Amino acid sequence: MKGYDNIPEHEDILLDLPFYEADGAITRDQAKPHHEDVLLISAPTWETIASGLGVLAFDGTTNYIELDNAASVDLDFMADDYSIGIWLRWEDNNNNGIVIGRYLIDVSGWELYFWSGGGVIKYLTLRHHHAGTLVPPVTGNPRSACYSVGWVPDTWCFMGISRTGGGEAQHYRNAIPLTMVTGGLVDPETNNNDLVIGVRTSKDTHHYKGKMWRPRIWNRVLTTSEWINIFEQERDWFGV
Amino acid sequence: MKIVKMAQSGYTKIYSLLVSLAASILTLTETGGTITSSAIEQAVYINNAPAGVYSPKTIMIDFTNQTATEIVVIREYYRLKAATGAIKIDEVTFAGVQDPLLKEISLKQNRFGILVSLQKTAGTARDYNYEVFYKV
Repeated sequence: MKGYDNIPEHEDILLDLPFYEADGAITRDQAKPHHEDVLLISAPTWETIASGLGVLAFDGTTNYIELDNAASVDLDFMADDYSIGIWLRWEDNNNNGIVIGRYLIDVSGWELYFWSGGGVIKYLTLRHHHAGTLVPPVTGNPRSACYSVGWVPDTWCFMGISRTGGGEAQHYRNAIPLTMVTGGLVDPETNNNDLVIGVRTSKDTHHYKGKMWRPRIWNRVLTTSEWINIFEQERDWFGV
Repeated sequence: MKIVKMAQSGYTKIYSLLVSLAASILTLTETGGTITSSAIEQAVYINNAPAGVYSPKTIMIDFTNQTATEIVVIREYYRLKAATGAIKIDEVTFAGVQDPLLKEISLKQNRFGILVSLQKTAGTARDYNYEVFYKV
């Protein structure tokens, strides 16, 4: 018998939302911290894809997921290592589609978002927010960030982010490490906002449009081989 | 060169086989939390549309906070055919202070869905801790 906690990829996993409910306005965390009251706001749609797997669809205008600040303090990353993995089928609505974040703009925290601006190049950016302006290499800016390109809308892909505390982040698409562009990723300041999935921290704009399955967050750096293992075990559900 | 390619092909096949075997082993998994009772029937645990055969094991619910004035109903449902309603298999009413405080429900394997619900029919809203084990 194999237990969840004995699987190497589950080591130090903080959040794991498999969306098994397929119904209702709450989804449950199966990672050890068991974050409670992960709420589905404005009713993102429960859908079943061709393989039979249940996913959530976001309309890009009102739908999102939230987890209260008090229940998510372990996701307040600063000098910590962390990793984020999510299966996505993103629709490009020429907007900042926030995938996930726990932040306050130009003050504190971290966020991950898609951007195209209507152009051909599709960006995925990991951004950290800071109190006041920073010292070099990102002088004068209350934000620091790194991004990858080549993200294709309307196609399922497995997005992975591995961030080393005090250093840079590596993006993965279908377990392949991507070329990163960075302006110098600086550790974010401590944050006390809610965790948001699919919307800006203010919860009123930059809604994510598209489908999503199993957001996961770890407080360690997942290696390329670990991203490969997860991807290989789950790719059949999505036909990729 | 040909031998190297054959070896690489063999390793790829072995790796693919191992990954397939690992993926086919059901994993014992756990989740849990706290639910606050209300007059509305609420899902304590639900898997409304499993992607394949699903093997829940057990759910435990903690009645420590329930007092003499509360009455709570626990219901257990399964769906036997896709896109049909969940069918109730059992319903148990718990009135007043419980002894023992921890209730355990053994769950059945299923393909199309499972629901365990909790509803308060009398008394004050209380918090009930729960923990579920299942293989997926």
